[in-house]
Amino acid sequence: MGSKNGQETIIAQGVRVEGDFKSQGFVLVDGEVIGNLETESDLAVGESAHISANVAAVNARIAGEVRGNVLIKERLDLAKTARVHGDVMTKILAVEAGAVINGKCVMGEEANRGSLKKEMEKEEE
Amino acid sequence: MYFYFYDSFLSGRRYNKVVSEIETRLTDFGLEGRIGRLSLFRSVKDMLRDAVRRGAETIVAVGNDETVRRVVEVFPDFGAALGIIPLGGPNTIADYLGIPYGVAACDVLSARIIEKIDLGKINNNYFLNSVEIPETKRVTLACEGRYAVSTVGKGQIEICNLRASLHGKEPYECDPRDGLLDTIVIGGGGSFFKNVRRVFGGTVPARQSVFPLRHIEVKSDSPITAIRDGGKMEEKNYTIEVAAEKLRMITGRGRKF
Repeated sequence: MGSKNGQETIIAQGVRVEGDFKSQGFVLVDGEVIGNLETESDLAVGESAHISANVAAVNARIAGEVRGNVLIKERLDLAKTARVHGDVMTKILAVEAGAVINGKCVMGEEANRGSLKKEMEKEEE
Repeated sequence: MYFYFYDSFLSGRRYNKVVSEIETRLTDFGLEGRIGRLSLFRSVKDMLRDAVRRGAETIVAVGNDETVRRVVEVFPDFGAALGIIPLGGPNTIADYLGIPYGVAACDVLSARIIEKIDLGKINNNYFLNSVEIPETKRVTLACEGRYAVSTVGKGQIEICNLRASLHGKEPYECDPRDGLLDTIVIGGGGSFFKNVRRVFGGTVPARQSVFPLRHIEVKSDSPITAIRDGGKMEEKNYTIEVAAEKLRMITGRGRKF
């Protein structure tokens, strides 16, 4: 995974981010995020991360906890320590044995993309 | 035309020889100009304003990081280019900009490679390298007016334009041309000894967060100390923002960006 334009954000353990977080580059989360997390590039969520937010990225690898909907444009990898409590939408999904998903899962091409994205936007309003 | 701003410590005997060698070298290159010496009776701003009024297009700070700080905090609105001849120490800013120590810096002036670089601003005071907020309890950063960053327990914060002093095994170097200030937050919790590999090479300690930002507000109930390029400030609230491409800087080929 890499960044489009060289900017990278690291949210380490011991740090909390609260609000509407948007980035243009790669984001690595090992701390806590509450609110909304969106990047135009890739996302990595470490084992110790706690995210209570809707999440959007191009590619993502999740190994921690996410309480919120996850919208990934291309590929989502869930590690064995991943715990996702919310709906997931992505083109390609790879799940390691032991990962937990409690929510709706929509995959593949554009067919259902519009409906879940609209639901997520409604929830934000 | 050049104006050379000499820090007061250069009046000491130990610098006589090297200053003389520098002046000779500058003459050889055809870069001679007026000289001003920092004193108790004249402010840096007045000296530089006079120099620019008299036609100086390049100001050269001759001294160390503190000398550069004094020049930068009043300089950006004059429109001239800035060079450095590092003497004394520390000279971390010159090192980052690829400017060698002493006489060799004259070659960099002569080559005149000018880069437009960002400056930072804290409560309307410019800084070139970084602002450090040393260990402090529960400080909240309001970032870009959209989200807040806080630490679990005590934390350290450094808002960096060139190179951060809060770092792990490797120095944390920023790009001063990207229109952003790298905000480094070190909070409690997590392993102090573990490192995280950065996407673009190098590692940072696992407890070190990095946010590339344009605008940061720091608020606290009681006054907190901020160290701006080595100079101390004490306020309850700070507004920190980037001044993109504000400074025309003469740099060396060995610069770190």
